[in-house]
Amino acid sequence: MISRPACALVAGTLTAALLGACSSGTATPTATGSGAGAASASANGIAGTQIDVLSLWAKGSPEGDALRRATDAFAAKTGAVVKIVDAGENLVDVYETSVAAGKEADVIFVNLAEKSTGWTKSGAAVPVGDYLTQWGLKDKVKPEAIAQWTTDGKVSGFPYSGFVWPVWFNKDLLTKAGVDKIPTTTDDLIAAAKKLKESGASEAISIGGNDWSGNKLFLQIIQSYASADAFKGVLAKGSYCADADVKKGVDLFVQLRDAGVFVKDAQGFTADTMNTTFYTKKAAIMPAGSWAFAKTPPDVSATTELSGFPIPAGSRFTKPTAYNGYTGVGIFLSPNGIKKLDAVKAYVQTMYAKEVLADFVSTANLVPAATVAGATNKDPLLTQAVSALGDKVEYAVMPDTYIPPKVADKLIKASSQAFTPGVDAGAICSAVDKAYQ
Amino acid sequence: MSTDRGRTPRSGNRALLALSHSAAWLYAAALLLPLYYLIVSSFKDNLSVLDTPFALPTSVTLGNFAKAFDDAQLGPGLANSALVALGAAALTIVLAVPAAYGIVTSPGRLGQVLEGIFSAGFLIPGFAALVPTVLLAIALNQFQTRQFLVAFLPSTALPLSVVLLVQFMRAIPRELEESAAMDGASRLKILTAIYLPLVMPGVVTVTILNLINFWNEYLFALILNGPDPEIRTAQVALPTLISATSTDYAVLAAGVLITLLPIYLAYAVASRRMEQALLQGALKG
Repeated sequence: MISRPACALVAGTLTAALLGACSSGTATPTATGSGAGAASASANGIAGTQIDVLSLWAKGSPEGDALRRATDAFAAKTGAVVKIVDAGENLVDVYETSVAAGKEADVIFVNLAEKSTGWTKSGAAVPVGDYLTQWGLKDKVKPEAIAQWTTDGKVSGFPYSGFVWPVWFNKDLLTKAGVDKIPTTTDDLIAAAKKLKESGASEAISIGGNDWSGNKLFLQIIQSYASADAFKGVLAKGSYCADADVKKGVDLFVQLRDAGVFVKDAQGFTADTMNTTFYTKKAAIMPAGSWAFAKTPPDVSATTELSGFPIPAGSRFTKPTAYNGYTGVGIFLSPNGIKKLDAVKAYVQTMYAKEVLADFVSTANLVPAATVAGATNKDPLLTQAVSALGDKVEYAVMPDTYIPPKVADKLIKASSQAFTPGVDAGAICSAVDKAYQ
Repeated sequence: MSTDRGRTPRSGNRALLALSHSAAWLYAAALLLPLYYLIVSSFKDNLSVLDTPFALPTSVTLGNFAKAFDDAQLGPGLANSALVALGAAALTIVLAVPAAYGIVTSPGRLGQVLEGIFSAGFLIPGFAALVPTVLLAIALNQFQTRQFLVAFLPSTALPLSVVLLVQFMRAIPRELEESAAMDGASRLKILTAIYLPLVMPGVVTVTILNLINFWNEYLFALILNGPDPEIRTAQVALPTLISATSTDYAVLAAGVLITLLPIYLAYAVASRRMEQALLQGALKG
């Protein structure tokens, strides 16, 4: 099989070479102007108009199924023809290549991270700030979500799903090992890891040191001492160890690693193995996002307490840290999409309808980027995250939108070295800085 | 003395034979290990796949296969793969057989030069041709069409196909061609009535090798055809079962097995013919 970087190279090369030079598409504009909303969509003549949707949410996943239910209802109501194509993890590369050919989908459901953060700048996606207002969505979408999707004054897409990314603690395992309370400081964490190891029943933190999950934890720990603005600057430009506070954070990471807080061979773990290790009670702690709530075995869910990552003495944070954000998945509009604006408008408005959002919340554990009254969810972890987490944690800088798109993949590979025993802070800094060159 | 001399090498041979057998069985077991992993994984749940990867499944149900087939829409994917692989393999033979015949019957050093030119195709990595190929597809308005993939894939297989067929054709006595020519047979007639039947084992071999390669092709199929279920191949459909945050490896393993099955069956049916052909080629060589 081809590696993702290979696809990325092709897509990147083509996009750079052709964007703007190619014809802007093959789809025929079917309607112009702005209508009065989804309810009157049929009256605006969108029946028969085809909307091509490219989705990260695959068929068979809770989100993918909710998307299909909403889309089917929309198509039945308006007469529009909506074709959903799952592109999975290749979505970004496939989309960029299709943009170069002028054959891109009209609407794209994908997260705002890595290469998609550069789409509005490169012209691969259309800024949606004006549409948010004109289509009556600005009052529905949370202001902080819009802020996270805004770069250089342009809103990259319609924010749709958010996430919380706490640290999970298995209270049963901690208690059995003699750890009476959830660790809130790094000293507590080191002591807890020692007790867990001595108990022989489990290890401390399960983490995918070899992929994005480890990368996010690394960046979470090393920002312990730096100010938010300073850390954002480092994420954007590199030179990690040139900032004394970030260097201190890297030293803290090395100290924790060498104290044995991570599972053995963490540098070879992925997010999937991280989850499995926690779900099978071989580790008592893991940092994982709200997307993992649904797949948690009930017996593990029942004994899991969500909190944040313990902080060191002298940290800029006053509470354990977690991530949250609204960059989970959003709705991008393509250059082809705005050629059939009425149909796309009606479709996007439908996605923000109360009943659609409620379905996403109840069936897919979605953390919506829009306010939705009356949505219910019985998942105990999501309930805990919504009701109790906010008081326990302080939210760290979520790195995705600050790291340049070209750096993101390389930075994940570089930071995986940090989980390898024996690699010192200087070597870690050197590796992550190289990702920016 | 003579008895001792006779026994020593015989027992040495036995030891060597046992060692060879052990090595062969060990190698076979190593090759079977991934297949075993795939098969047992496809009957488990996701947690068991990751937690106890080589343990046997506790039950045998086809749920993962049904889910993989449905979620990745493997039905159209397999049909598209069959269309692309068969079409491209047929086109490759249509192009490679006359090319090989032309090389074999070229006078003087011309044949060697032509064969060298085809062999030079091995030096060009497929990836290097990707961007220009995509540009060509766009320019011809054939981007995201199956026919372009059918037309393009033979170019990646022609060097090996031509070189192999040349070796088979060189084993045919030139007198056969000369006598047919004296009887008034045209070049086309000589190719179709004399060369083609005699190199049929070679044609089968080349076809099987190409079918396997075309069936498993991923890079060009992804970039040129894209992810639309109506035109994507099974190899492009399969990765839609992968998610960065929650891949179900049991369903993925079932999906992999589904896509392996057709090409495995094709190989099983034709492998004896291919082995005979290779043996025949070796003897003639």
